[in-house]
Amino acid sequence: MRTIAALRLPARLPAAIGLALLVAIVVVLVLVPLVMILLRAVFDSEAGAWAPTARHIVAVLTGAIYWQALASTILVAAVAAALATALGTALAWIFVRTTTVGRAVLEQIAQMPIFIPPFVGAVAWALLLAPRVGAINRILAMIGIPLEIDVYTHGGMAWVMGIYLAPYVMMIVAAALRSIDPSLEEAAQVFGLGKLQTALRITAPLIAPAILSGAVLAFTIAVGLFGTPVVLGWSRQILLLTSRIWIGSQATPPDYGTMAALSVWLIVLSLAATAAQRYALAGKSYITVTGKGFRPRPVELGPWAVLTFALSLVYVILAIAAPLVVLVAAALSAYTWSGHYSLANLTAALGSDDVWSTMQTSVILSAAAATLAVALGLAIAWVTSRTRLPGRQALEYLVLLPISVPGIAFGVGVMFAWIDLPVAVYGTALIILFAFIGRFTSYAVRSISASLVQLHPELEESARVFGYGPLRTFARITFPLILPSVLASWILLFSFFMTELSMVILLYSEQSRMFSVLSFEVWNVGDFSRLAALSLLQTSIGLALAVALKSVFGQRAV
Amino acid sequence: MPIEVANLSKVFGQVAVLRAISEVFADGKISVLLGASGCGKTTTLRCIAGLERPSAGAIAIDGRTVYRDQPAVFVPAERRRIAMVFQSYAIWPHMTVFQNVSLPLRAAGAERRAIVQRVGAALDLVGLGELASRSATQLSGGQQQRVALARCIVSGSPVILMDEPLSNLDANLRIAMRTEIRNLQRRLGQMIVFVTHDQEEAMSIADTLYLLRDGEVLQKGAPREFYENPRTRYAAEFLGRANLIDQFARETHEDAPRIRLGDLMLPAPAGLPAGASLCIRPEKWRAGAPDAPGTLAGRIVETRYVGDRLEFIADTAVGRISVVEMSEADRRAGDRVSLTVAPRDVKWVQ
Repeated sequence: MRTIAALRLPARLPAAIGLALLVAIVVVLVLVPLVMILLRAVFDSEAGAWAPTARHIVAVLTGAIYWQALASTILVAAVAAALATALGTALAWIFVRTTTVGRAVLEQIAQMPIFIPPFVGAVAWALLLAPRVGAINRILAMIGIPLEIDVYTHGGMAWVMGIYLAPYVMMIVAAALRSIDPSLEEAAQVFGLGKLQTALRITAPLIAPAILSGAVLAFTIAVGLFGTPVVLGWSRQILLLTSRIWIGSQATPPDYGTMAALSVWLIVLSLAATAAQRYALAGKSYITVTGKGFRPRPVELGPWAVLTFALSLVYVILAIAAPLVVLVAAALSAYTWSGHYSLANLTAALGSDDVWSTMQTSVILSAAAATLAVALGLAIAWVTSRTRLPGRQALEYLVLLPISVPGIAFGVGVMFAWIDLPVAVYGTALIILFAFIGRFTSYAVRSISASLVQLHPELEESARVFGYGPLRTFARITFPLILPSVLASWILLFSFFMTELSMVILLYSEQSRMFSVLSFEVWNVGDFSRLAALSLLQTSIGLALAVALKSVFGQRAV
Repeated sequence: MPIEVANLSKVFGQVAVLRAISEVFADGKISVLLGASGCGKTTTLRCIAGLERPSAGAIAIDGRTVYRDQPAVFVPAERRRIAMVFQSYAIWPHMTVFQNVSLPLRAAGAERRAIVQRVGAALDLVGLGELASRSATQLSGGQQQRVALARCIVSGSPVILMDEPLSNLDANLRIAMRTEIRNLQRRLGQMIVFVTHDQEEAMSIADTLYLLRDGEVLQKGAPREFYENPRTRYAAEFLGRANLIDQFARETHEDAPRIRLGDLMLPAPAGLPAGASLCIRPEKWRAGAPDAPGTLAGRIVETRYVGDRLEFIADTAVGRISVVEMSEADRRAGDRVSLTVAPRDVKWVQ
């Protein structure tokens, strides 16, 4: 007994040190930025001296422009979420439950908009629907329809956000539809409910939690979007909370207090949505993830199949095809809609040193951040699911916190965390690295935890029994088995980072000017031909990564 | 209210799952469809329920045609007035026990008072009277099974279809539920068509047993009749255990055909055709002291003591023979035994 006890202490020491290290990293990268947002909203910092103040909170609560920004944010995000939910649910039903021609391929394509950066989508729709000069408006005018659609409105923003958020809802609802035991619906039929009654009384309530989750996800993403509302709202000064935060950062000196107070608003909004979802769903999780796949009986649509096919095709055209076509056309135009096309313009736009240096920065920073975030996520996921170290739950809770914090708000927090410190982080590429890791490690933790949970511990235990030590067991058994989800997390994070704008726009410096910043600057000066060329490049990288992700993870991507 | 199926066929892609089945499932009785997976038993049930559309044939419930290929008739499931227990129980997780059980009545537009009264009675009958307001997700497997039964009782349908209803229960509960289902059926008088792959379950619950293989009914009959007189090797081996013997000799003694197993001479079973095998159930053998004249001599190669009985396998002149004994005899591998069997217990199969 004594020898065992004597052996245990040193054996546990490395584990304790490792855990302490993880906690320290997470506290610095995740918790400190979040706390700093709150502190900066109620304290003024003058050369290291902190003084409490209600000034910023009062300014935000009494300023009409801030209430307008809040109202616009809620309005646009709610309409966008409603549109995304309606579209996403309809598409999920069409792809999972009907015999619509080409549904398997259409479902794959309909997931692609997730990989089109929101900024690029907004640029493309500005080219399509700008008043007078938008491609669709010109076509309408040409064929004599006296109708002009204006994308530079609340409705326009909600429309563009909605179609790009629809795939998130679609994937959640489709997964729920696939996991319903078909006999639940068959039983309803046997006991006398017709098709419509079965849909309303059985199927709808069963997938309602998934629809609600999708809607809340769409709302929280919409609240935190920066690129779309700036591109579509700037010309008419329709400014959302995120735009106001950015304006605060452009002031000289930057208006840190207002930025902090507005970030608190953003966080409150997405927490409120999440809390409402929790409340509505209390005790209503019917979909048990058993890993058991069901083959639901498809609905025979008859002539209606044309309609469902048309709807999915229209979605693909609106979300992907039309934006791509208009970007290509604009990129090839000498200047916007001149009617003169040439490749020279495109090659000139893409061949500049600026493009290649920012692209290089983007790739290096994104790859480094994705690698570090996945490594950290892997360590945390392993500790929480495979050890009994005290404090592991707190660790997981901490790292998942930023999931409901909009990117720009988190960026504000990261900025506050380092700005006054004597160490050279603010103003270097490091701060972007820290922001990426702090905000997005949660994604890696979730995805890797999910696959660790599915991996039966006996697979590892039997390796131990047959003579592998803990490290070899991890390297030879655990890691190879969860490699697909590790790779998938890496690709997903890399693609997020490559197009991230809302944090980068606050944190970049000359040394860390990323490609997304370059696009934003080109938009700022209004050079739409060059902007289209850059957007095309970003989109093709995004789509290439999407294809890579599919091939790593098969059907279960994202 | 019998169920009649005529020439019922079902083709999935290139595979014929049902090959022109024609049967009448009797009113007020339990008909059991038994067979290995893929034999077509569940497909038959789902065709009767209206959950699967047959490829050809006809189905009538109580004289009312619910499916026919020519001229086409297809009554959808919700208008066939049937009740069903699913393998997964199909208890709706977003409803309470009461809501689950009352749905058939609500679907039929019954009055509130009648619903409360009938659901209460059905829940009492299955012993769940206390749990009416409980959420369906908080039920154990056995309780879900009872909710599924109560739902059938409440529906008032004289036809209940059961698709492997006991396969998700643990062994003891499964045996208890057999008896319970049978007692309920005796009390309420509905007819049940019951699908299972478990031969013991089939025997203990059935009035009439239908053994399916490759989409056809191979043999049917009351359980005892079926067990005592299997007609094919497949039926003999699927239902219970059987010694199938090919290496016996045929002789004629005083104009009567006889068979010989080692030194054991027996009258040939009636109508024994050429090429048939003998079928002798393990519990029909009598084992005695070795070297008795006029017996089948054997040497025990393996014994298994199962508490209430002793099973052994013996090497004999006609191959390996399995024997089940209730006796206290202490047998060990290597012992020699003499085997005899009563002539009426020797059957033939093809």
